[in-house]
Amino acid sequence: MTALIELQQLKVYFTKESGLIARLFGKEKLIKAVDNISFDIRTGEILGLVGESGSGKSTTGRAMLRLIKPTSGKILYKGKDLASLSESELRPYRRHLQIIFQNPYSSLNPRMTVGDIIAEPLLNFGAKRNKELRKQVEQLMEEVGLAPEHIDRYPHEFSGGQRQRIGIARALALRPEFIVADEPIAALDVSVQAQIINLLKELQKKLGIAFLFISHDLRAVRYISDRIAVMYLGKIVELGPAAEVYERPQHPYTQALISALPAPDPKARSERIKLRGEPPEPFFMPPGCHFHPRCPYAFDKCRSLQPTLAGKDHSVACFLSESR
Amino acid sequence: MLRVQQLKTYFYTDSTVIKAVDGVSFDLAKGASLAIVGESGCGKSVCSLSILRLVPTPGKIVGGKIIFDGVDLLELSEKQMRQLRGKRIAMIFQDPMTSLNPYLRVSTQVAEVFSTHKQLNRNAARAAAIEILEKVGIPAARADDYPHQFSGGMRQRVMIAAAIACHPELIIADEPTTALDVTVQAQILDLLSELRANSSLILITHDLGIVATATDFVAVMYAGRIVEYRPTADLFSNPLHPYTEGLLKSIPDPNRTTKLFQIGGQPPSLSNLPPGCAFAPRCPYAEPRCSQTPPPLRQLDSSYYYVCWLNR
Repeated sequence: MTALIELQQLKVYFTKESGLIARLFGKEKLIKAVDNISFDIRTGEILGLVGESGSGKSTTGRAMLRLIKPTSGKILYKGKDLASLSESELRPYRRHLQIIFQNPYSSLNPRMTVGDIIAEPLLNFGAKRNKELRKQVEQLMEEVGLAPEHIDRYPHEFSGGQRQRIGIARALALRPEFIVADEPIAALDVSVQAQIINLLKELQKKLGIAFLFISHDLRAVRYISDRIAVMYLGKIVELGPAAEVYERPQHPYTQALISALPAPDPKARSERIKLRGEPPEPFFMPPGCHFHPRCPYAFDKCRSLQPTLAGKDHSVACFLSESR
Repeated sequence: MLRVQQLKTYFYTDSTVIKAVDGVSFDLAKGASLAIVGESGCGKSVCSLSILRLVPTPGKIVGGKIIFDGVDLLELSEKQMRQLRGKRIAMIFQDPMTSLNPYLRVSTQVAEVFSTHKQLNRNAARAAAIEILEKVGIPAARADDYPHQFSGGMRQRVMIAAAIACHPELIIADEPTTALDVTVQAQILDLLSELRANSSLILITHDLGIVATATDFVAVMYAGRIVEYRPTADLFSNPLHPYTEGLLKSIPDPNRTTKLFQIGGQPPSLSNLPPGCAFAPRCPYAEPRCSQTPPPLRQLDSSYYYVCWLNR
């Protein structure tokens, strides 16, 4: 499989707003939300991106679609670097790159009917408001499991899971090749999460769409993804085939993350790897490996040098695996 | 120790009555832990707020009994209730940022528990607060910081310190780890089970993994009612209510990648419930009578039960 979209040394930095004095003396706080990451997503593949809040996973997803301008690095979509394009040059690419948001309550305009919401991307790219458009929208609704006769209703008349389906239909309207799904199930009820996971997987199979599936829910990510990337404080610490990463995690952070998942089985009293502390504030990034203050195996090297992602199919950024 | 019988808490709006909690019954023994699981809007939080008699308006407890240590809490005066809250029954909320006062140092907030309930003077209360904060992992050097200077996990530790301060007989924790990261969630759950000692615990959650690892008993709620109430191990090995069964089956299994089991449809609206079983429209086993007549309560050993037409 070839790479559909490839990140090369992508960096997204933010400056924390600071007072006049700090600015005068050049002491602005720099937040390295995404700090030099590289990976690719292949045609029709689902790449799961996991990490805790503040790890930079949403920023990565948004930067990939150029919803945030990256500080440096390349975003190659079929070989074309999106990071170097101007807004107007970017426009023809937008139809191939779509997004599904976490919160189906705030991401749908409450004053628009479902039909108008789903038709909007089509109208943006040249469709005419006519019977055919309406038919197309009805087909899209059917495709995501919504009743087409509800086309003239407003978002508030739908439940959370159904609203998420509206968001998915809108993302599908232009038949994109790549969709960023940013925590698409986090705001949904447990019994509805499975419906949305099944729907996304079905769309991948049927339409060959590639997904970046961003989530903090490791079980869901393991289930839906072909490969998994684990992020910690702006860096990818592990990347590999989903089963490999889940069953044989190499990075101490991935290991802790998986073992911290409470198993839905009262008999399974697993050995939990306990992590000290919590992720630091993003502008007080520790030197060396970002994870070392919490890592149970940290040694001298980890405190001064930054490990890089190494390995062929299953790669890890850790000095421990290097020395193995 | 705690016996809730036929508890009913309704919310009255201009046009409708929302039956948030509609006839809930369960027991909790001394030192035991009970999980109340369910989806958003199923009434699990209202149920716990009812026990503390903290139901927000326009909600009202309209029926039932809450027997705590032989006394019906619904018969107590507001003053008597205030003496109970925080001392004999403590509560830990989901979001520690909104339940801590942002203007007060955390030591002051924890000390307040001691001065209110144990009548300690200012210095003694402060000393006791610092001691209990250290116990939950907050060093004395940080005791005088303000809530915003702490991370989410540390703030939840402060809440736990305040909750266990008076050795309450019952702790109610409403989604205590939902706002936290997975690795921090594990720390907080461990801390809670370690420090609660002999206190009984009601843990409200939507995460079945937490139920399995942290509690002895489970009550599964759906649309304001408990549909299954059983020991945790039994419920997980052999769920009897179709909703419980569906919930357990829809958790992604890392060893299988076949299509995920899904419960069809959406949770119902509480203001417009069907006359029969609220789960019937989504139930794979539903028969005609399910949507017409309320299902019977099927008693199991001691006080456990499930509520379904299906006899398993």
